[in-house]
Amino acid sequence: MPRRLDPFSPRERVLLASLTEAGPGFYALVGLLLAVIAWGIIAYIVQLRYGLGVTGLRDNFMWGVYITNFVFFIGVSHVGALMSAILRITGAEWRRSVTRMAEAITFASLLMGALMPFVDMGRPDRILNLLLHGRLQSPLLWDIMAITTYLTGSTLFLFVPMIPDIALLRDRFAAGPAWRRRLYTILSLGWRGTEAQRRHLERIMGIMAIIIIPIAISVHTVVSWIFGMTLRAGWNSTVFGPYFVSGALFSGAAAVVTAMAAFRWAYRLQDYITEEHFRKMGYLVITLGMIYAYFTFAEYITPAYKMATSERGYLTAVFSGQFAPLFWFTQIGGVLLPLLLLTVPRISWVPRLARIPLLRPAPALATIVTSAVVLLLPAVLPRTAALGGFEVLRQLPFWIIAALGGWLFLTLLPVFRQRPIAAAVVASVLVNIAAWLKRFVIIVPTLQYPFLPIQRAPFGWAFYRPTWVEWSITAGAVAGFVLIYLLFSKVFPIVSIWETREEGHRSEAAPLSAGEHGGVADAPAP
Amino acid sequence: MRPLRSLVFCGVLAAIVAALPVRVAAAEPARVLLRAQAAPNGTVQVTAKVVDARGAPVAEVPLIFKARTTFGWLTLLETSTDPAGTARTTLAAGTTVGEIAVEAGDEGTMRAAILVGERKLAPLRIRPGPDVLRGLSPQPGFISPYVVPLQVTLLGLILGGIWATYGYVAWFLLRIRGAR
Repeated sequence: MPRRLDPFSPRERVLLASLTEAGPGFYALVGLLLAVIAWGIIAYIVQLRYGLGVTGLRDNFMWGVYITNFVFFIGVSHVGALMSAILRITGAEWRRSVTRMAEAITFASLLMGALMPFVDMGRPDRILNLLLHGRLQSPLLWDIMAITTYLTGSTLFLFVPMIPDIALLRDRFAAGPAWRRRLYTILSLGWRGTEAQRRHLERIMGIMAIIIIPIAISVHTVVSWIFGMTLRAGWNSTVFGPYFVSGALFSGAAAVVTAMAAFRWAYRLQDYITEEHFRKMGYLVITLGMIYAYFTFAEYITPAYKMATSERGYLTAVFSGQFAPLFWFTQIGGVLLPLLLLTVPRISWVPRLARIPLLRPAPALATIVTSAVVLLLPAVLPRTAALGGFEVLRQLPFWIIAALGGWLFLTLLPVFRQRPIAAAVVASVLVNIAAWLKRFVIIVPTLQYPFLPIQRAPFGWAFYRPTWVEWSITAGAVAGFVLIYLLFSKVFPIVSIWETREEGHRSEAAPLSAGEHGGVADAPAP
Repeated sequence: MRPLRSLVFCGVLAAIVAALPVRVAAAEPARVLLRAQAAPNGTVQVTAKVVDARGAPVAEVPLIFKARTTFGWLTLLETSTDPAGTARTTLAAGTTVGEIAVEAGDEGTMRAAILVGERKLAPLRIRPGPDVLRGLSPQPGFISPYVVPLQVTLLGLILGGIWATYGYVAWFLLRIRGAR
């Protein structure tokens, strides 16, 4: 019996693993994501049925977790288009393995981000009012136009470089289901890899790479204007546009690092997503992080230096009051620690830390965990909190936890130096958690400190506490983002086959398949 | 005849008294009235009139015209009223002054102020017209429900340019399909 020829070369087989392999882990993950999404939908139905009263939103807190999600997702969406376009234009060859991941992040996060304002409106049918009676002078309408334009542009920017790979799948995925073959046939646009087609493709990619940069920048600038165009403490700022753009790029680049690590681990892409890619992405994240830190400093030092009466309440709440733990976590845990983690592999004195007995991982971890558990016992905290009159003593639990965190960090530094990819992943996850919290800190404290006092409102309306409905919908949105991304990787190669071939993997190509198909994966590249 | 002569004498005396010029200098100034009138050439003539308690004009009353600027109240002119009880000053065309005030009397005890270029208040409407909005804000384009041609043009150029490029890209995509 003749052996059936494998239609894919070994290299393609590895790069298409996300399409061809689906183990129990994959189905478990999809099931979990679907369950979370279903729970989010139930919460949304409750909100539709009983109104926004089931959320923590009130007259003066019209924006909360939903708009935090919106700004976060739109921010994360930035990196795909912008990073990919800039790296393409500047000819950075290492980008080839990661650009499609970044572009797919843009697509998935834009879809989820664009949904959030509808959820925040309470009655989604009211979006019609915005379209029918919206004023062209309103930043809200600008936002709709900008996001629609960006979604269209980024979809094109994602799709165009995929055409040769889709053609490859069309030609070689004969064993797949009929819908999949039909989809590939339609989307491959009759690609045969001819000279004329390559010329057109190059031209389109050049145009899109240039035009997507100002579009991407303008989108988050317009998002920032939704805040900046209002006269409110904390939002009344001239640097909000670049501040938002820098924050978006920082969090987006971190999201790409997380995605790189996840796919590398899940589909064994070590040959295509190497430590070198993480190192270079790390440099990108460090650069963007420093720019973001600069804008954050500029944004807060200007009003904090003056402490105008009207802004004093807001600034005090952010720096040392109700929102201080969140704010300082976003700065220390979301900027400083990630930048340190990403530079650890280049710091020569880090290995010496392992020689200090107190910083040896095993005893240090045991002590830290025990201390944390004892400290966080519910019986202990009220007793320490009751030491009224002594500010330092009342804040003792916070300072002890901070010291334990610092100790833990120092203990783990030598470990992270040995594992730069793990360090990059931890840093990027920290950046993204902090990015979400930072959006929350931008939105909620400002709403809590209006310039004009709120009249005749119940006491409880003066504070914003998200309810289970908001958390459930938020969890559903995050799960939706991950599911879209996951399903995308199941239908299309998440690492560009034809582009990575030019990066130095030609030797692994199977001579058998070269030139036999319309796809250009192992055929001469355009 | 004596009563008739006396009557004629009194009538002539009354006529002489009535014909005498009015003397106002002795009256005490009580109020100052301020009026602004725009001329077709863009200048604004501001007239102050000082009157006594009966409403009669008072002459030779010292006056100071002041204008509110971004630097605060600045003096425009120091003068005194003429025999008709009035004093005038003229604002040059294009002078961006919102409020004019006049202080009359030796210690500026009488004061009046007027908004220059104040527009008539339109009746309350649910959807105010552009004229009302211009009076409400120096940037009516952003608070008005009416489209502003400049904004529409700018947005049209930017969005039109982007979407036209998308169209160009789509056209090239179709050419990929047709290319051999």
